[in-house]
This record gives sequence, C-alpha cells and structure tokens, in this order.
Amino acid sequence: MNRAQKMAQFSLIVILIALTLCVIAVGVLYFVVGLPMRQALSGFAFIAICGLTGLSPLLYKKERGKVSFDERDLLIHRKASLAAYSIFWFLFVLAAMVPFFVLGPKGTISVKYLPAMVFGGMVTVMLVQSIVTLEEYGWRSKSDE
Amino acid sequence: MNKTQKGAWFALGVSILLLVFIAIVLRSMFAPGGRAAGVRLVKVWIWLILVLLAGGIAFVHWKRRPSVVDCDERDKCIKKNAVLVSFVSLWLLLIAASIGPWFAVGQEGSILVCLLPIINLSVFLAVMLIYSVAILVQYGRAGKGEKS
Repeated sequence: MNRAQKMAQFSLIVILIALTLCVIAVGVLYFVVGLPMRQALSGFAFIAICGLTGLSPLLYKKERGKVSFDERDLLIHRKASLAAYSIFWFLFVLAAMVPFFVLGPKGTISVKYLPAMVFGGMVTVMLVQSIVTLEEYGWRSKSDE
Repeated sequence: MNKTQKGAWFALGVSILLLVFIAIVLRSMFAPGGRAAGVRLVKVWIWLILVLLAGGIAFVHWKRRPSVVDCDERDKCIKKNAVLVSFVSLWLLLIAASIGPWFAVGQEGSILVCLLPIINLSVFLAVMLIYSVAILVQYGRAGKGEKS
C-alpha cells in the first residue's frame, strides 16, 4: 500500500468513525435522554473528529530517497479531487435550492444552517476523495509497485 | 494572447459584470417595495446576458487555424496553480459566507432562504474571478503569452 492509499484509508476510517459517533450521539440524546431534536443535534459535535484527517501527512511521512508520487498517482489524485468537488458542488447547490423551494422565497432559515452546509461540504469532499482514491488504486494493497 | 489568456479575460469580465449585476438586483430587491423592480430587472437583462455569454464562449473557443496547439506544459502548470489558488479561496469564501450572517444577525437569528442561492452564485463568481486573475497574473498582464 503506498502513501496516498494509506492517507486515504486513514481519512476514510476517521470520517466513518466520526459520522457513526454523530449518529449514535444524536440517537442517544433524542431517544434515551429524551432531549428535543433541536438540542439532540448537538451530538453532531463529534464531527470535529474529522479534524484528525489533517494529521495524515504527519503520520505517513515521505520516505527519503524513494519516489512516493508518480504520474499515475497524480492522475488518480486529480480524478479523486474532480469527483469530490463535483459531488460537493452538486450537494451545495442542492442545499441552497431545496430550502428555497420548500419554504418559498419569503421563508427564513436559521443562520446555523450555513456553517452546517459548509462543514457538511468539507466532510463530503474528504469522504469522496478517500473513496475514489482507494477505488482507483484497488481496495487491496497490491499497488505499491 | 493565447487561448488560456483569452478565456481568463473573458471569465474575468463576465464574473465582474455578473457580480455587479447581482449587487444591483439585490439593492433594488431589498429596498422597500422594490421586489417587483428587481424581478423586472432580471427578466429584462437575462436574455442579453445569456446571448453575450454564448457569444463570448464561442469567441474564446473559436480556432482560426485548427493546427495550432491550444496549450503546452507551461499553460498546464499555470492552470494548475490557478486551480489551487481558487480551491483555497473557495474554502475561505465559504467559511466567510457562513460565518458572516452569524455575526450580522446573531446566533439565534435567521436569514431569508432566497439568500442561499445568491450566496452560492456569488461564491462561484468570486472563485471564477480569482481563477482568472491568478492566470493573468502568472502570464503577466500585458499579454506576453504565446500567440495562437
């Protein structure tokens, strides 16, 4: 498994753990503790765990004297970024248009919706980029050639 | 001036004009009783804008000589740097756009839903503008790039 794959795998695991914890926390706060949904949504604070993905370049450092990134890796990276940002932009437009059509042009929405849109977008980008990277290399560790 | 530069000048012009247009429409729409005036403004200008956009795109992509090479390694490198700059600016603008209203109307405040598509479009146009500026700055503004 090469460096890009290891980093993608690390990001994917971190994001999936964060999302799972968010769902569990919201579920526990709503169904077990009995908080109203508005307050139970504070369980989404676990999404902050995604910040750990920033550590991946430190965890998987470049090896000296070894080529860690070639033309093929560059192509895969480009493809993954393109897929991630295409999906992000589609979802971002959707997130902007759906409230407009559901609530009407005169409807209002809480300002908390905007950061949720942006951070949701960030998580989407990281998730899709990791999945496409791993998919392009093949999920098994055969591409350290 | 090569094709990349022509495209960048075109995108720069279009994004500035559209940002100004959005600002004018918003100004008239959010004035008391000015909603109808804003909608009328959009209805009147939208066709002209679309025709100009189509004409501009056709002009940028029109090749006088099919044998001429569109872009080389240097152009690719310039485009790559510009894309990187625009991605960074995209996130900065999105974070600014999401935090700005928070400060403007308070933590428990709310905004009109019609502002969401406007924010969306404005961020897109701003990123397009930054991309074009990044390309033109790298080529040097005076059109020193290879001719096509």
